[in-house]
Amino acid sequence: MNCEQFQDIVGEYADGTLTLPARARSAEHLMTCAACRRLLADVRATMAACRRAALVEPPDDLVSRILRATPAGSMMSCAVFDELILDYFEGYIPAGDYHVFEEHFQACPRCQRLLTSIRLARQLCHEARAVPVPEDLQRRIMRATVGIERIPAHRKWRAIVRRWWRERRAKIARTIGLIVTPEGVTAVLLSLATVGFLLVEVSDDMTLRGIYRQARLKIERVVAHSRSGALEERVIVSELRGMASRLNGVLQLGANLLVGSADRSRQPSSGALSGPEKKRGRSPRHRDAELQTRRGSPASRRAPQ
Amino acid sequence: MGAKVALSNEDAQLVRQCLAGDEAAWEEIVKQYSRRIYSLAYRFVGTHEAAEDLTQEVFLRIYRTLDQYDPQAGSLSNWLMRVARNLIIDDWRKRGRTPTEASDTLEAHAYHLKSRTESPQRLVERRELSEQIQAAIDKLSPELRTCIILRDLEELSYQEIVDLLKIPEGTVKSRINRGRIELAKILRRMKVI
Repeated sequence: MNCEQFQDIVGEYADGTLTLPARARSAEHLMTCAACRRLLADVRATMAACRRAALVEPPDDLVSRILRATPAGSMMSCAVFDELILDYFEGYIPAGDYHVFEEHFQACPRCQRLLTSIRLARQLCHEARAVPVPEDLQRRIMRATVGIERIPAHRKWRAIVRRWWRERRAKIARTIGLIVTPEGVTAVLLSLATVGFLLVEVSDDMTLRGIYRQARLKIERVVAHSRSGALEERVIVSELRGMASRLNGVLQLGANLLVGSADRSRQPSSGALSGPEKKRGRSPRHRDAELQTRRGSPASRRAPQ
Repeated sequence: MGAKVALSNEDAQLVRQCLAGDEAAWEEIVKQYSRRIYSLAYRFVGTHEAAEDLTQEVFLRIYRTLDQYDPQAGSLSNWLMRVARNLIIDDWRKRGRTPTEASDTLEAHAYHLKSRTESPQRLVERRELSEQIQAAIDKLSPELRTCIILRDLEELSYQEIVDLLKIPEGTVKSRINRGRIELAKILRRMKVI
């Protein structure tokens, strides 16, 4: 090893970080070279001087200057501030902590935004406390407690109609569903025909009241006859028979219409029938029933064709 | 191991107190570390005024990032000094690695020391040595100066310097070596050694 090589590693030699062979070669060189020994001594003295002078005496007011520049509120972390928010709104923060809390608030835009948002949210919640009350709540409470309802008449009727409609809505819908079928329509028409017949034949002024009046008169006549025996029984009986036969005719017509519409409504739904049955059209039992109807009852024979 | 855990708990407790706004806890940290950080800053910037400003800046940074300290990752001392070193070296790089603005001459240092003869003898001697070392360090090139400060004043290991400066270990060793030789020559001329 020569002086130049030793100068390259003198620092590491002084640190004691050289490998053992390199250290041995350096030691060997140092034994023969006074200049490198002086260099090593100087390096070691420099290192020692540096260590001795490592710490510099700071100015006396450094600590107080730093403390002035770092107020405790600014030092408070946002997480701790968040924890104190609840106490802040409840008014529970002790005076000392409140001072720090306020300082942090002044220094931290993030916490300013947060606290302002929370304050606004609380205000909105406060305003939103008035929830709309159901109309009939008061009435229901009164009924459930003292059993008295003090409500205006129009509201009362409206509530009654509504309740009636609510309770019967489903039933009415079902009824309408039943009526709006061929059978239902026919039955309604039949009823209307009956009422129409009674209006034409019985009523004297084409009103339902007239039907009632005439029926009552006839009954009174029958009753009077039965009491006095003065009136012609035959006249009343023939009148009644004529009316009955005409009504029977109307009903027979309606019945025929009803049977016809029922057959028509059944016809498309007979898809499950087999081929031969389709060709035959109606089943034997059905035909027998129809024949019986045509030959029919005495009423049908009496009916005018 | 147990002592280490206890120390770590102590650090964690101190930091927790600081984060809760406890001024006494923060003052304790400032008093404990201000001298070390100030010394490091002074070695880099070379004047007391600039070192004072830089130290204050370092502490501002520390208390703003104190919630990032993780006791599991190491002691508070290591964490604080790492933050301080990074900030001081960054500041020094931003200044374009210019030597100290004042770059006081030896004579100025000598005059400065003479004006403080009223202090106790030991303190004076240490201050004298400190100023002389600073004057010598200021004469080094920026690269050598950084490595010498970190190795011989801060007593960091080679690896820590590698991590801090992000340069190869060989370069670090070489700079330390050259820096020491240079510094020894300067100190000898100054009759310090």
